[in-house]
Amino acid sequence: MRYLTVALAKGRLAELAMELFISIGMDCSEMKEKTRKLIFTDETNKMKFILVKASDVPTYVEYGAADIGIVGKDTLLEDNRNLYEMIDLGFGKCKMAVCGPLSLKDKLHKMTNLRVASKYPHIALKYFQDEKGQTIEIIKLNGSVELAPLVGLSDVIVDIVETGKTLKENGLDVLEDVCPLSARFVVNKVSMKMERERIMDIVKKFSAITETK
Amino acid sequence: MSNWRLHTPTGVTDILPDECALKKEIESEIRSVFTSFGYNETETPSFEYYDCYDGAGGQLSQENMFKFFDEQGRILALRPDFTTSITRMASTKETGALTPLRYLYTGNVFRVEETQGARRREFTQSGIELIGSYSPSADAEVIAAAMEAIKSVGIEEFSMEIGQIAFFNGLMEQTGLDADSVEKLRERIDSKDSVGIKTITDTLNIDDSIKNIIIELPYLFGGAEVFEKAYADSLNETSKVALDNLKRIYELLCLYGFEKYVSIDLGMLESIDYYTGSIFKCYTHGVGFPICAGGRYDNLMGQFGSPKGAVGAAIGVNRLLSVLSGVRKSRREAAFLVYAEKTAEDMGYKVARSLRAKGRRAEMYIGDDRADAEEYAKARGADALFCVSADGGLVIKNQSDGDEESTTVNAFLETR
Repeated sequence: MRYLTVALAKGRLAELAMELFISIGMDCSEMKEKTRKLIFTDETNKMKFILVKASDVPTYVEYGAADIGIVGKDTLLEDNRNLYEMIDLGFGKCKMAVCGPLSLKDKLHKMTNLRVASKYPHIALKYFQDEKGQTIEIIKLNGSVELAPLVGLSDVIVDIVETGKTLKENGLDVLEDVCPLSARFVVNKVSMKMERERIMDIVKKFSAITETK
Repeated sequence: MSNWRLHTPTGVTDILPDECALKKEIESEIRSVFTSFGYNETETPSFEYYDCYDGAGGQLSQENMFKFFDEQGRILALRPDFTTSITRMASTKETGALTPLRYLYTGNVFRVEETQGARRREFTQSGIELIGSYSPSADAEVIAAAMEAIKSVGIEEFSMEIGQIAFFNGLMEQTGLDADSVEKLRERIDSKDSVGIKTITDTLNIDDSIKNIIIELPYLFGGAEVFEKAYADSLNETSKVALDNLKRIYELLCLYGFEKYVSIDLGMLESIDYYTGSIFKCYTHGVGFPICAGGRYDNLMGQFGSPKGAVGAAIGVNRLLSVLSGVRKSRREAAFLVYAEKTAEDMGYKVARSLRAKGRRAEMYIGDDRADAEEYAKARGADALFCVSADGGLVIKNQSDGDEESTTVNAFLETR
């Protein structure tokens, strides 16, 4: 039997995903130990788990370096890779939103040269350009995006909103919702065909768990 | 600043001799299989007017083509695929020919792709087009020939997935959705995004059995049992005909003896717009992308003025190469090395010519020093070294066991 390789987005998503794999009988004890290892093997079920940066999960899966990936919908939308997106795992729930000073609420569509800062330039562009038909200027940032409107770098930001606490503390509000987000179970297209039974078995078990939740 | 003279642009690469030898062997094996099915080799231009390719959509969209201008300012494009060019050729130049027409081609196509490693901007396709038939026998023949070709290069474990785009089109006719929503739904089904599909189907006011089939589409893959799962009395004529057609293709492929390689996937919805019926993709271990793809494109001939049914398949040679590079070696044989002393060149050339006439590879050593020639033969891995001396003597040194055989040039030329 070949190994099935699962790419997990490092951090909280990986922990929640591991719990899910444990609940269907996979052995991930190795991973629970505090270690700097990035690859873990379950010999009995012939599974390998690898820890990668969230934004790299779709790449590993599309190229078939991993058969399966667990990753946030935000990363999938931003990357737009050619994969099967099979289950909404229901955890890691949050949303993508346009945020800015409350004074701009309901006025965005009137601004002719809206400057939008984001870690997710594709999502922002798609939302404004394709869905709203508005031409905007994108400013790609890599972190602390909330700062951009405060120092005049941009008018608004497009970012993930969980509790909204960081926004509030920086005097920003949610102006428009872009889309809801959560963790997704993605599969490489070739793996799906070549290892159909094993992957569909996991898919069915996971779907059953997430539906009862 | 980088020195661009030293580098190749993104997405294109050199193929060095060892790899190239294997590639050419693969291409020739595929070509022989297609030829044995009665296909005739053809060539189309590497670039054409952009208008020729316009409208194919998907992977062949405007932004995926390399474009430039001719001296009158018309837009030209490097060919992004062969199917369109061959269809144009058949439609405009072979109108009176006896059908069906069977074409085979091998060549490079060019696409502007987001490249990262495996995806190239220039890659080799080897494929066939069968033009002039609407029969499922044509679809089955093309798919069978493609599988035979894949087997011929030494790939045994693969999976050929066949689908039917008209089945989906029939379902969409029943939903009454506008083109944009249909496209959204198509994308989501193609990526098996159940969540995304439900958000669209929830808004539909249609027969529940149809709605369920749409929701189930991503999972309608597997063996022959899929035909039953996909059937409902409420399907419209388009979908029913499509399902029957796919079933027939599947049965014929079983008659070809390919049952164990073929499976059905009704949720596969290729993004090239010219496909109208059967579509297929072939996968194997070790490469994350299909190694072969194709389908039926009944409207394309009509767009060039001569409506006819047509179906084709293309094999990605570079992808086969990446699967095979660790598995098989090129059968290219080592060359003999011929060394001639300074005044014996004429005899050296005769020996080399005689070896070549017998179909062996004979490389002339360039230089005067015999010791250097021996060193070179060793380093090169030559099978044997032929040393011709000025007095007409010939020493044949077998490089593998070091045995030397002494004879004369005349004796060698007479006996061998």
